[in-house]
Amino acid sequence: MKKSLLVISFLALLLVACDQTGLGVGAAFKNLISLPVQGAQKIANSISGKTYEAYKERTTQGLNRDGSSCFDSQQGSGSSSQFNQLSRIACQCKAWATCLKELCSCNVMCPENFNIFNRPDYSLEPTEANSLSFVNSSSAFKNNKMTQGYCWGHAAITQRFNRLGFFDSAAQPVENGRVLDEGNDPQTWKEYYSKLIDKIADNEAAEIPGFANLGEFSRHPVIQEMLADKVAKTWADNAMSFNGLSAGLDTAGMTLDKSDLLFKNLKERVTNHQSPQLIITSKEQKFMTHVLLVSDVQEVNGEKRICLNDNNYPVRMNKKCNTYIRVTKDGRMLYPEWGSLGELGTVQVTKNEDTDTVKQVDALVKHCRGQRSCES
Amino acid sequence: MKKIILNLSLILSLLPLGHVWASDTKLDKEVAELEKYVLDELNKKNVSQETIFFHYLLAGRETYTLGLDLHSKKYFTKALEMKVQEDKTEAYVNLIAIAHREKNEADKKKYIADFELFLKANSRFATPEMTNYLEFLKTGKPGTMFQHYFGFYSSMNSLEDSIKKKNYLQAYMSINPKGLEGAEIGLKTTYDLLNVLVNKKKAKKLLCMDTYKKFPKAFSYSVKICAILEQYLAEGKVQPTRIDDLKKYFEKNHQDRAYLLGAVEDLK
Repeated sequence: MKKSLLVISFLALLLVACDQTGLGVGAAFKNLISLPVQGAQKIANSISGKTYEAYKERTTQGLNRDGSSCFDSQQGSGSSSQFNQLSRIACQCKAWATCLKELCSCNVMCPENFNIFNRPDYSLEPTEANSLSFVNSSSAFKNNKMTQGYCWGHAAITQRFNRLGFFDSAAQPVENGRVLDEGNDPQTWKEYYSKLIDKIADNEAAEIPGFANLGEFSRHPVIQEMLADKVAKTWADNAMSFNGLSAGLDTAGMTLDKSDLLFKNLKERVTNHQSPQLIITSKEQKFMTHVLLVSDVQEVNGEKRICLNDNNYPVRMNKKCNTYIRVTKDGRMLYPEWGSLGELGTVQVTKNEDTDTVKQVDALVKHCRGQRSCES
Repeated sequence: MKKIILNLSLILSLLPLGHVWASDTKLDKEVAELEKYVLDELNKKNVSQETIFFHYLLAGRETYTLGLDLHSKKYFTKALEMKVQEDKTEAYVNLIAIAHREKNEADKKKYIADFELFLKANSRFATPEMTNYLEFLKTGKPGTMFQHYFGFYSSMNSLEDSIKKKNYLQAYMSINPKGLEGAEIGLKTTYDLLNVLVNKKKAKKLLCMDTYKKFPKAFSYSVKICAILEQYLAEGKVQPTRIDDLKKYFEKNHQDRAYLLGAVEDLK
């Protein structure tokens, strides 16, 4: 089963990677992926792809990395007393629960699969609370009305904070046993939060005291300046890479097969509590690209829709699937926000998505288990 | 025999990475698996130069995606050193990207120059896209092909250049204030500063004011500049202590924006 999943995912990778426009970087990328070197393809899918697929399978089967079951909430209890049963119900033994280990196993509270994303305070639906307070400045310059700002960085940083940031407005920033005061020692206060931002941007989990959520955090000008820098840096990391350039050339348009595959893929991710980064290009317009987050997939009156959290727009425009890609019966994808027809070229999950996701699962499991003293 | 020696030298050249990667995190363990796989492949009999090249390239790609720059650089550099007739574009593009990420201008320049030589010597890989991209790397100007993709990045660089050269009118005219609705505070404040430099006391609403009013004491260059602009519009002058305070701020923070100080000092 595991092997067949790997093969399917790898074939999907080939399908996406090979369907380039046939020019320039795309052609080079194609050559590399389909190169006739024995074993080379194995490397191409060796780390991020393989681990992502393994986590996906474990999520479906409710397993952890060591093969133990996530749903075995009896571990350690050894008791069937009415009190324990009631406690188990009361504390709702599930991901991120804070039950006693005797009543709910660490494998359930901190599952080593995609259920770890199912945090009680986490929602795929865009809200002011889970969004950066500033938009992607796509039209800030007069001579580049259609340019896309630092969208890739905006999407990636938003996703990382939503998955890895633990906000607590009641807590205070403390360093070396000393409460940091913004008014008295602004330099240290700033450096403290800078380190937390670095951690999350590097796909590590962090507790963020003094703020209720990402919206509030990013409204503070000291924080906002640092976040804007991180957005720009993350954009450059992705957009200036060979993968980024290759994606910009993928403008051929979606076919029914490709659309079905992508829709199924996105549905799985959303079901697995993920809001993936999606890269879209305009049909046959090279390098007119945009990266945004998927908040849901829906089928309305037989029409498939990919609901978007588009960083070019304020949150209110992204709520309740107000902004979406329409999938036509023949598999074409249309984004009405991009003109009357708005037909898209290739639409795909970004190349960094799986790598980020795998790192984040590991980081969250470590954080969750640390909080619950699971390793002791 | 020659091949064995070659393979042995390749393996030895990679071994230090193995030690670096011998960490206990799960991801590192999987990266170590990748390294072992590459080494095993290179150690096989009758392995061709092309095979070695592609393995380096793919290992470079994997480690690049993982953000492991040290390892990625090592693999891409090895790929470039191979005497094969294959397309080395990916190695050049990603090495340039890493140098950019590390703000290593010397390396960036070197890789761009090497990339140019490579495209000149291998015209079949010098596609319009790659030629345009090379031009963008050399000049910072995206041209027609990359106008959408690198337009904002390029405009930000031009804005910085104009301010450094004190071409305030040019910088001011390049920004579309209507496009700043909801933008980050640094960009809004930069626009406000240019607005006041160009229009003096006739400048109307400051875009930074809402944030400034809410966080008047914030340790932020935007808030500090906004306070200066508010004072200038109200009194036609700026308190020298406020300029000194901004100067001190830029000594330790946001040094890449310190060029704004010169513009603030030009408020007269």
